[in-house]
Amino acid sequence: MDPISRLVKSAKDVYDNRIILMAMVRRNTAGRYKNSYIGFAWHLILPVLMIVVMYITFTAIRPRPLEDFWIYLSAGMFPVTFISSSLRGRAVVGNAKYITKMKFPREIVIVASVLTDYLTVVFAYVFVILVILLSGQYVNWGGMAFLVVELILMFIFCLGCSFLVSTVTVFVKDVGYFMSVAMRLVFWITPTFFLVSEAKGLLGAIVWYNPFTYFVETFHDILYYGIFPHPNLVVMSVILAFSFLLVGSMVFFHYEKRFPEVL
Amino acid sequence: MDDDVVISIKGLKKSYKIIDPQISKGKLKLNKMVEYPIFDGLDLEIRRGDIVGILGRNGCGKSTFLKIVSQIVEPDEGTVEVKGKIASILELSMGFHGDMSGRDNIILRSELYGIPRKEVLAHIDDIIEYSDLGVFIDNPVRTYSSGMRSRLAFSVMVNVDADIFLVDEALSTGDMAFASKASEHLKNLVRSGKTVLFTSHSMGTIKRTCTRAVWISDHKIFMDGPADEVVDAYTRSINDSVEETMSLAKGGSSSAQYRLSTFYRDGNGVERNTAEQRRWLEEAALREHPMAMSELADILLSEGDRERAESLYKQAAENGSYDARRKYSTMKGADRKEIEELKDVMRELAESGFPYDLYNCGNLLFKTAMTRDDYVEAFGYLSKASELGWTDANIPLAQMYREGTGVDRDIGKSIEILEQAAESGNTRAMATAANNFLEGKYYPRDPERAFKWFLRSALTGNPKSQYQVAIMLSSGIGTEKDEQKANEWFIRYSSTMVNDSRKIAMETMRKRHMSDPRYNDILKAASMSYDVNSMVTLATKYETGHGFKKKHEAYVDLMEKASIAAGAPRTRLAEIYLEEGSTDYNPEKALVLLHSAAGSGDSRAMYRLAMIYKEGKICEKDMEKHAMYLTMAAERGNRDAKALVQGKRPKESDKDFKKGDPGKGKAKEQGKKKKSSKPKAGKDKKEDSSKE
Repeated sequence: MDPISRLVKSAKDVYDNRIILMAMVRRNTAGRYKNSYIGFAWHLILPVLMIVVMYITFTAIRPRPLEDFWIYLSAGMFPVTFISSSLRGRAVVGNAKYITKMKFPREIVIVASVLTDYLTVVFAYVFVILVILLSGQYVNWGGMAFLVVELILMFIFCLGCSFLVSTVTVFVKDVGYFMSVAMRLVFWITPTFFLVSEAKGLLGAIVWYNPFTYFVETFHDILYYGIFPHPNLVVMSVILAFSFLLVGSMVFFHYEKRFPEVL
Repeated sequence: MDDDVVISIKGLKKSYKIIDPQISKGKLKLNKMVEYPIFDGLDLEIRRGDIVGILGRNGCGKSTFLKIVSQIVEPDEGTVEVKGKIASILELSMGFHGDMSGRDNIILRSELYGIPRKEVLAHIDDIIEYSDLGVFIDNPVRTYSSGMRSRLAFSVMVNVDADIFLVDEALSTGDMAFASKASEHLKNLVRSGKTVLFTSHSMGTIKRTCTRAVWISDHKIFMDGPADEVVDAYTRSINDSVEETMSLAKGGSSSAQYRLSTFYRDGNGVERNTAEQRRWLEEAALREHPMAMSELADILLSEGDRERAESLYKQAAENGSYDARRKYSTMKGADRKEIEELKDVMRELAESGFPYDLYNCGNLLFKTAMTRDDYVEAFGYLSKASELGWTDANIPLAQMYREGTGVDRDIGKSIEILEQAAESGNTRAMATAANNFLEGKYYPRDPERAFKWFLRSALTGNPKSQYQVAIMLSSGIGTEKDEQKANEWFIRYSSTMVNDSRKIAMETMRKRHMSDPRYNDILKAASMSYDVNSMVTLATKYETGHGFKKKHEAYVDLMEKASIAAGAPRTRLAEIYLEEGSTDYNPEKALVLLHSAAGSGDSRAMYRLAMIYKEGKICEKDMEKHAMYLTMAAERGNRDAKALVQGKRPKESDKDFKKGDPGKGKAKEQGKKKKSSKPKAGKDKKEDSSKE
């Protein structure tokens, strides 16, 4: 079966088993914070805290602070946190007991874990947009409409990454640990708290090689600058999303049969 | 393929990669992998309506087999064809979320089986009822015992719709009642045209539940046939293999150690060796294997070590060996000489050949037998009496066949002669047979047969059997559930056993002979009819091992039942759950129990709660509640509480309190010198209600 029709079949499988998918997502969200007081909000604490710290730090240090720096920060921080958490590669290993004991389309564990993180970013964005609207900032409605598309593209991109990393982690455990280290590094070379135009030297040379940059910049364009995103960014987002999905799923489907034995 | 064949496996091959055992020693870095075959050309057809038990040694591939059938694992070679939808329950506790309540977990897990939420909610009350979890259903699953978890899991499965059910080691946890309910459910599934495959290490479960069994060994199906036959063959192979027994015995299994000693005794597969026989007997006796203790005592007695033999007999008797009980009572009891004389008289009488005399003589010899020769002689008299139609003789005879005393062990024969006697109308034989079939310890468990005999015995007016019939009818064991009939039998039973006379009898017994075995029987009967005092006494007996085999589960179980009826046992039950480090440790449950006990006016529970709120270890510290409960307890006359309120140190002699927290609580209390100015509660008349 060629990769694309395999993907289509898989999408259908996941849709047919959406009850299982939603049960897993609910287990990941509601279950994780059961019996805690603020529950799901724990998911948001870290990015919010980062935004506050960065805001204070950079408004104090910068000679000429960026206007409405908090919008810039929150437009970038949430997606980056999301992408890095979906790249931890724990989706398959962490759900070993389902993989080895249950007959179901195994890609569901990947979709479920990405979807769990994704809910956070959507939730946070709704909040950010509300604040933007309430504080009377300029809003580009075309851009806002494209935001939805871009969020979906980011979801597809993360799905692809997760397919890839989770599969490799099953066979080489080190990859999982490596990814959590790498994500720290990638955070610092993604324009969340600096402008791409400010990036000089080494950072300036590598910043566009970081796939996260394209997504984050698209969000900056829409939310911070209030413009329709630059066409280059759009094209790159599409290319990145689908190529990662294709490669990731090919790797996943090639190796998934061996999961129950290896886990 | 044939229409009725639902699973068809042909030429299945599967191997796993394992680290090469040749090079593994210490040099794991070189882990070169080699193929290890699990299945090598396995063929199997399973038809609709079968319950198939799968057995085999650990690691023979039972679980892998189920995984292949459920298409989780792909075979290397061969074909697996499955018709119909599969529900696999390969691990009962899979997918439970500890922090979520039992109810939420039912929904979650049903969804994992693909059942929409709406449908689950429509059935959830049935599921909860089936699980028997009652009030615990809204507590987080992490507080459940493993038995409760598997009950919950199994109840969810009951609602799953599929054609083929694969169950891995499911019925092995959970209590007896639930296991039989679960196996009933599997049987019902099969009746409605479903197919069930399950693995278990419990041979009894497979025999009881399955129609067919498959024994996997040497990478293929080693034997396939009716469950009884396969299980027997499997058990024999495990028992007979000396190597197997040796390794089990070295691993500390007392029954294997005993078996090994018999191998050395009889020269079965090994050379005869008295020293080795003795060694393994000693080992097994050390682990309280009743038959080993009894046999070791026999040897010691012949060596002249009367003292140790006696104590071993006693221990064995306490562990349930009838043989040892007889021997012990004979040793302790009447004068040996007297018995010998009596025996001679009986022998003389038996010369006449009258069955009654033959029976009496045989029975006496049997009851006082010390050596195998005695048994053989008793067996001779008894079988003669039985041949002449004296059916009472069949009961000891059946026991001899069952235990292998005086005659070779032969369960089939034992059943045959017991049922023969029962058939001819002997009520004692009926009840004995029924008990044995229900217990399933010596005879193969067969509730239907047990019910049949209980019913016949009950019809002749035997109250115990009437009670049993009622119980079996009401819980649907061995017969169809029929509350109405059950009630009729309960009424018949109670009219036979007039309640008051029973209570009077019990009081008299209690005063006279605490050690009288009949006292225990009455206690049991009374606690079955929910007499709280009897339940607590019986429970205590189980816990202390006084007059009974020590049985903690039975203790907890009885206390649970008793605490439904009264407050005081609830406090004691809570103490069990509060014991740190024990398997029962469950503070949430304990708190609930304590609150309800306090609510029903138990002052000890109030005092206990006061201490818990002060400590703040298992719940949040709350001095207000502490003071409140302390005052309440003191007002109700709890001495410790009074002492605390008055700023004195509580008395040390406190029996109801077990080890643990209270001591610490007191110690802290003493250091602080409580200055509470709560008025002394002298006005109340109530005695400490927690005293039994």
